[in-house]
Amino acid sequence: MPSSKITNLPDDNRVMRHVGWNKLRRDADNDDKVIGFLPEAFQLREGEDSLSVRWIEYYTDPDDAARIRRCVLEERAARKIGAKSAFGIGRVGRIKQVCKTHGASIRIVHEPKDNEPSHSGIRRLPKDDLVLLDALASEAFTEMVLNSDIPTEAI
Amino acid sequence: MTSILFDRQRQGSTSPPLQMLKDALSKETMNLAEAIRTFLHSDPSPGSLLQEQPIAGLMQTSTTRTARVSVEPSLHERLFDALAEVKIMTSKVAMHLDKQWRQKLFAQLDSLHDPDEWEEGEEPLQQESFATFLKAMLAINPERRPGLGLSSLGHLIAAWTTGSDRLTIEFLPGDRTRWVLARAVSGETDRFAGDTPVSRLVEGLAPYRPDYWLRYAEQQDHQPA
Repeated sequence: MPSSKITNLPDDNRVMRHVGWNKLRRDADNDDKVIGFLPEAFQLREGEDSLSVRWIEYYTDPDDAARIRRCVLEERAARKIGAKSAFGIGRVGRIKQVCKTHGASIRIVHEPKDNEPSHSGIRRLPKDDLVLLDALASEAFTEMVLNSDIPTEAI
Repeated sequence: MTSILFDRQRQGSTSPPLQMLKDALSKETMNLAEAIRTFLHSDPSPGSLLQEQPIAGLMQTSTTRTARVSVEPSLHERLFDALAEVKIMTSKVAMHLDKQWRQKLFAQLDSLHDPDEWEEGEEPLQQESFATFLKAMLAINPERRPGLGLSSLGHLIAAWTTGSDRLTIEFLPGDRTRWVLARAVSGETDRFAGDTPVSRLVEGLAPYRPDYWLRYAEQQDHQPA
């Protein structure tokens, strides 16, 4: 994929967002079992202008689990991530729809970096709209993969 | 960052005002004296005390002094400090929290500051946020304990979940709270958000029947108004 051209990701493709341990939703009644994501998992940090995600379909393995695993391995190689962290997976079209419903016209574009070829970003995401962030956490990123469930060995 | 620290017992030193000596002392000495004066009027953090290292012979005077160098706090120190501070704060209101909850809360706070899970660029729990949290807990007195999280800025987050319905409160410095609640009604999800001082949190949540999340009996009714 050329890095100089802005590529909007197809609506039927999926992106994956790493969510640290402190931004996972937990059930205190059930031994703090992880049950989802907090809205703040999708909040831009100070200085960020796009939400960092990975484009799962960038990888072309026929096996879906292998594509997800490649994205996880890419994330692990890029930075330190905790064993108890997780990944949220959402479909591009669904994420855009949820944002549009809440008044945000976002773009999800491919933003490859060195050694992070699947890196992408969600742009124009409002920073402090808690209602939107909650909707992203529960209606857009609807699938969760635990980091501990992904083997460490390279594919 | 390097600074010179002296034992606290020297706080009562009766040296003359620095300004009177400025013509007699070199600029470097004045700077050093100013750094010492600044330290004597500040409290060292619990974590930094763990890493101070004695330097023999530095600034020897007629009385015995111990000089130490403080280095930039490590991640472990910062996390330790943050935890120590909020646990001390908790101890001040311990009479209002039952022992079981206090133990659970401390375990949750420990878990939130696990160095193995810590991400670069994140802030440990801010004392002011935790103060707001404690005030909120005393006000709403939840029977169901919340799951806890931490924002990138170090704001504590409390989350209650009943089925697919959620109540999430972020505790900000300055006694402010931000909250969002979501509940499914006839196949749709209604969401409401608010930004209120902690003193009006109960009032702000009241229209949405927060007991649905905060009390066990209310859960069985399942559907809030």
